[in-house]
Amino acid sequence: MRKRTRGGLWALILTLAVGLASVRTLDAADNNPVWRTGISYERLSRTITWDGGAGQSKLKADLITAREAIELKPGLAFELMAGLSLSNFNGLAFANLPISLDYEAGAAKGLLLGAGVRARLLTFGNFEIEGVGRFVYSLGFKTTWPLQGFAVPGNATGRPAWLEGSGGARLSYGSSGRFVPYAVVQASFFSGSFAMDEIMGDLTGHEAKKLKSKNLLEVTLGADFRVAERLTLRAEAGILPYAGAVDGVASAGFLYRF
Amino acid sequence: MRYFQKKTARLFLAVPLLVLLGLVTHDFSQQRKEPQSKRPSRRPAQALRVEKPRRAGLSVRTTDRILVRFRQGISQDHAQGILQSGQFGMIRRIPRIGVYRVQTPPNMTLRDTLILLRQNPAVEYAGPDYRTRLCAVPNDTYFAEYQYNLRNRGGVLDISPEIQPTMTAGADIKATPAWDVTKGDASVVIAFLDTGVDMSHPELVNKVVSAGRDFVNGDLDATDDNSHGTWVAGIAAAETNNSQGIAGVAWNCKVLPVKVADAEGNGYYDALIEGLIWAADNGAKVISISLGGDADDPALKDACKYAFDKKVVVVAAAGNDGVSVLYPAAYDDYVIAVAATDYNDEHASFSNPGPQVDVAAPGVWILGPVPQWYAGPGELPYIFGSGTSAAAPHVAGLAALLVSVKPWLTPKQVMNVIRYTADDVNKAQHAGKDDEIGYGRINMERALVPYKLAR
Repeated sequence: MRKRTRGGLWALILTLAVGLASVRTLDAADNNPVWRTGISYERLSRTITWDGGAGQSKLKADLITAREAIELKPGLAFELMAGLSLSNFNGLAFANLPISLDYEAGAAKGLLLGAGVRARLLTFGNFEIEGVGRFVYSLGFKTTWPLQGFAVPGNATGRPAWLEGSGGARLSYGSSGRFVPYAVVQASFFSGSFAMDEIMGDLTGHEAKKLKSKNLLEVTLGADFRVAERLTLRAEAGILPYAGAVDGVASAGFLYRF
Repeated sequence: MRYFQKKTARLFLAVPLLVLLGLVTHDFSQQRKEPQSKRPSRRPAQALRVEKPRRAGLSVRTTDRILVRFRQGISQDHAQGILQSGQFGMIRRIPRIGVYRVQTPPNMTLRDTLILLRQNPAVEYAGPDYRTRLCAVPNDTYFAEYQYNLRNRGGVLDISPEIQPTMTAGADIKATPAWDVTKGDASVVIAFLDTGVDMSHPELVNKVVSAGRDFVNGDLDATDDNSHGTWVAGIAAAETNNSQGIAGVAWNCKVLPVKVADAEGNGYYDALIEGLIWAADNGAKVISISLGGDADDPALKDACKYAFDKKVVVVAAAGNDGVSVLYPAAYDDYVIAVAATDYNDEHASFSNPGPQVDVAAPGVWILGPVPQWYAGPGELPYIFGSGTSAAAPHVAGLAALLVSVKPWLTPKQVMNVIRYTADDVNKAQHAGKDDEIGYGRINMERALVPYKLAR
């Protein structure tokens, strides 16, 4: 899992590098990139599995992010995100520790980093089809919980981390220019880990959970609403279906154009 | 010179063996002579009050009923039409959540019916209508009334007209919630190093993995000719939930009889040493020893280490003379030493104290099986008895359950889980670990049920 986490970090760094390189190149050629900055809130719920699918629970996360987007030329935009994640893994069971633990501690705080890209593929009339992609990496802060009621003092220390990636197509309708509704259909990938260490007297245990998601597809409806010349509000709601059930995601935020 | 060395070595060996002879006798004589462990009243079967079984022993999967939910947009009429056309019987709708309960059509298996339903695009979900049951409470005849050690609901323990102690509710090892996590794995074998086991006893006939080994008579038949070994084995691993007799701590774990004491309950260290090694070599994951001696002996310690190194959890009784912890229980690094508590979670006066005591378990008036010949004609083959001999198999049973669900744990980890999850029931007098009950009376619930990591 650590390898995957590192892989996510490298992917982020690579995307940043490519993005910044592009900025320089195009800046020199066009000298007219558009910068936007904003804040968004996202609430997601994903069904996660662990122990090879034997265990299942929900990850409910609240993501508060600051965004910096650059439109290098009309139809090509990159976005970077950084913020705070509150990831609730309630229901996750650490049954391989000497004393089994059921995680019911609610949201774990973490640092959030992410990047996104949007590129126009096709325009017909007022409709536009774009390719979109995004990944978000959440690195939870290490948290320690006391284990109470035992004959000797003990505690458990855990740290979650997860990576979500998605990519697909966005169909938007922009006749008015002020209100742009859109639909996104994209493949969705999730991988996570939750490492837990248990110490009680001279009894120690370590368990690292590999977390996967049952959701492979995400369908989102949203709209950009330009409330002022430089200010755009964005709201989205989506579903992540999987066999027998459906999870959801919703977000809202604004972007200010410089 | 060599002759003298050999002679000296023999003398050194002979001394502890002689000491053991006396001590083991003492441990067993408690069963018969001492007030706290005298033979219980023997009642004819019809005189025993019996609580009716709480539940039938049916598998959760034993069902011919199915729960079906249709996709959104499928009308009630359409759904019922699909079910009726499939000749499903007993259609019942649970309206709030739009689920139908149906019975499999005649001549169709549950599996085929589920496949058929799941192929229908209108069906969102189809699965067995699983059976429910009460929390794991065994239906064994004497469980509710006499096995306070496993679940103590208070009241009077009605052993005989003369013996009717009042019990404290909750003074037990919290077995029932733990059984919801595991009832043990049949691959986990507990070896009982004792007087043998009555392998034809209804509580044990299906539990013994082999005729075992008799190190007293030097053969491969560890049949009990005393009763003590049968009683001890039954406490840990009696056939459970079979609507008769008693419940064992480890329902599904198996029994390996190893006879290391004779018909009078006497034995030597050499048999115990050989028994430890043989049990460890022959599949035991847990060894329960309800006997011991006063002498520290390096060979006995080595045998305990041998078992420990082979990933076997060794549990031993602390002893019943109220003085110091017997060996092998006193080998702290390799053996978990068990003291005895009673129906009020109080330290049993006979239970040996010492810094080596790790935990305690109920050991006063514990009901267990004995051979029919021992109980006598017309008597039920069970007795109430007392001693750390009864406490140790409770801990051995818990160790077997832990090994069942977490086979990757080392013996040291299993021992520590048992120690650290114990209830410090005498903390008013001795907070923390003490010489009487060690870390406390074992708590199966805390050892096996996951701890909720709350904010």
